[in-house]
Amino acid sequence: MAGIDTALIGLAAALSLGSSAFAAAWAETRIGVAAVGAMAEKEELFGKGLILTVIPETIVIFGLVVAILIIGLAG
Amino acid sequence: MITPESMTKLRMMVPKSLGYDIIDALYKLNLFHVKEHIKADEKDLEKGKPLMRAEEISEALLALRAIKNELHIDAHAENVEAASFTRVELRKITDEIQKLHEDNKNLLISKKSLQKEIRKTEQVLKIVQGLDRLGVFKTGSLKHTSFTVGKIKKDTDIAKLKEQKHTLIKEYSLGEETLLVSFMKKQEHDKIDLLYKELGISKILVKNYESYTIKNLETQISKKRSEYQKVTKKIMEMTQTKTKFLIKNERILEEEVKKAELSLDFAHTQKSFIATGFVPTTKVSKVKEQLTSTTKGAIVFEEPELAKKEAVPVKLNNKEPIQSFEALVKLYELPKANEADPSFLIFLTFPLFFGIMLGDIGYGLITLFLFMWIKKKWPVTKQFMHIFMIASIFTILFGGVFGEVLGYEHVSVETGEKLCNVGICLHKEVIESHGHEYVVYDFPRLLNRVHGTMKIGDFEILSILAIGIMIGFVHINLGLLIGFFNMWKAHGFMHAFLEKLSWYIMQAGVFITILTLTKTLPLRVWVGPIIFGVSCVLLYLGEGPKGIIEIPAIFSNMLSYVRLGAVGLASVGLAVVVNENLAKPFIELGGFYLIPAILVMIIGHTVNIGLGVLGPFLHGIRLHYVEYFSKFFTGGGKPFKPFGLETIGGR
Repeated sequence: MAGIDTALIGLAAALSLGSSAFAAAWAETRIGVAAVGAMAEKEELFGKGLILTVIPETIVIFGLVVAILIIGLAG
Repeated sequence: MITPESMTKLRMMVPKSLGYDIIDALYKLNLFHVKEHIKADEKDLEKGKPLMRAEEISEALLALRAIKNELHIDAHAENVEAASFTRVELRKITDEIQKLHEDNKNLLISKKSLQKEIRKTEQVLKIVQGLDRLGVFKTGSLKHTSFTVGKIKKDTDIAKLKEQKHTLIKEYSLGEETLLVSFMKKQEHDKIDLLYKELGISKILVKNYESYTIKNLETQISKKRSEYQKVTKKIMEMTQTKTKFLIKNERILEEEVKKAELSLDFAHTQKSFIATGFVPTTKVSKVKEQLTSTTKGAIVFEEPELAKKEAVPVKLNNKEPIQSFEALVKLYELPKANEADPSFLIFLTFPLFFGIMLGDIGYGLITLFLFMWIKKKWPVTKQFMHIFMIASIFTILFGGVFGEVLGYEHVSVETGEKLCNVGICLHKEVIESHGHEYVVYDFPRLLNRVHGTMKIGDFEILSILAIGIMIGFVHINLGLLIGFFNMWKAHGFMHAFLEKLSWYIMQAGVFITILTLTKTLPLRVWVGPIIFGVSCVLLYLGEGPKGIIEIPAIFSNMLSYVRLGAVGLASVGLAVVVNENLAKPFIELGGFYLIPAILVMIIGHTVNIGLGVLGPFLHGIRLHYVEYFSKFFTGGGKPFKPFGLETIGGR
């Protein structure tokens, strides 16, 4: 059985990934709504709309990197 | 291929008498992008007017669309052949349309009036039938009895009328209304009349109906009905016989209106037109030759210099398979005329990224056939399907690299032995899972993306994630290099050096610092930071404060490529859940339970393929648009739209 330390490490990694994913999702909904609205007015804005919508996704990537670091540092 | 097609600005002067001929020749050539004449730019030249025939054609087109609307014809011709018409030929078409419009209008008017008459006669018939049935016609001659006739709505309250003494009330239904007759003593007549008024009952004067007979009315109705049928038949016949004519000529007239109105974009003097526009440089001589022969030499050409910051239309110039990837560039923005066309670069890396992210032989094969089928079924999607098909091939290739088939990394001993019997012998291996050891037949692979790790310093990291960052490093630096050449071409070497190459120096500074700190490089500790500092100064000179603010962005951009591995891991995770956690328990039970196992696998993998196409597509394209394009691409070019026949679904 893994000890409480391992569980805490796992929890910390999960929290870093989970909370960053939640933040990104929340940001994306706000941007996505505006982007779709803009696209409905002007279809050519698809490319720009997509870019703006996915910008917060980087937050998750950082969350993932931090999660990996936590697991890595803990060995 | 690397830059959009080169364009030449061409200006021509032709006599107004040759207006249609020159426009028609340009239309057939389909190579001249017209630049609208703006009076403010050249004050001496007036803005053009449409050709004489424009009004006539527009009127005919309006009439034609009115007929189509009245006959409920929705179809629209897809393609017509480029054709030219003399004024006489056009007049023939427009006259025929106007005549058709007149005929159709008359038919519709008579249809409507017949409808109205039939309805009116039917109403009279009903009342006459009612009056006859209620005995009103017979009562007219009685000495002491009188009557009043009226029409009421179904819900009218006539209780007050019914309370009257010595009054007989009879009703006859006319459908939505009711015919109401009150018989009373002659001296009571005025009183009942008053009551009718009070109750809001509309009175009917019987003498107006005395001249009608039921038989006469019935004959009238049937006569009108047969006339109505004749008119309806004529309209139907017209719809059947003229649909083709209308659809074809609508498209012809649309194109002719376009031609007749093109001269609006020209500059004009009293006796001539001056048309300015852009022609692909390789086609200039062809255009000149053709127009000279059309006008029998009555044309003057000029190739004026481009004005400063003049927007030149952009035509991307690639051959298949790169041509399909133009769609991804257009989805973002067209490059400017003097900018590099990134289609080829996207062709190089987009399928690669997609393949790394999805990377599964089974999924690759399924999506390949799926996209082939979609392309065949809906040819409009051809460009995107080509992209996806190439991406699917890369998915299969990387499936081979990762040794994954539908999320499985290995097969059971039984399956492995069966495969060996048919000539596919896999490597036998012992794996550990949840504390148990299993013997399996493992797929061959170059890299295990789920378990393969590598050591960076003291860190052990999944190889696929590290590979992602390395790809990001190469990709972003490639972007900077292209940006450098773009900038060099547009603003000179010094500007390009400061704005783009400073980033290389900065990265060198960071790496030297890391390598010195880890004692891999035998240098003084301050060498790296000094290089970094110098690069910051250069960057500030090149890009101003914006450059300094963007310093962390270049490293976060590289980290962003971790998604190349991460998206794939999520996809593998989902596939493993479907295979191991959902389907396996059923498979182990065997027999009847194989049916739910197959169902679970079909549904699970369908969902995973759906996500597996959407995710890698969006993430792949995002890495290009956000991380890559920001290093070199400005965009904002206007598409080259030559004047000519636009084919539906054409380029």
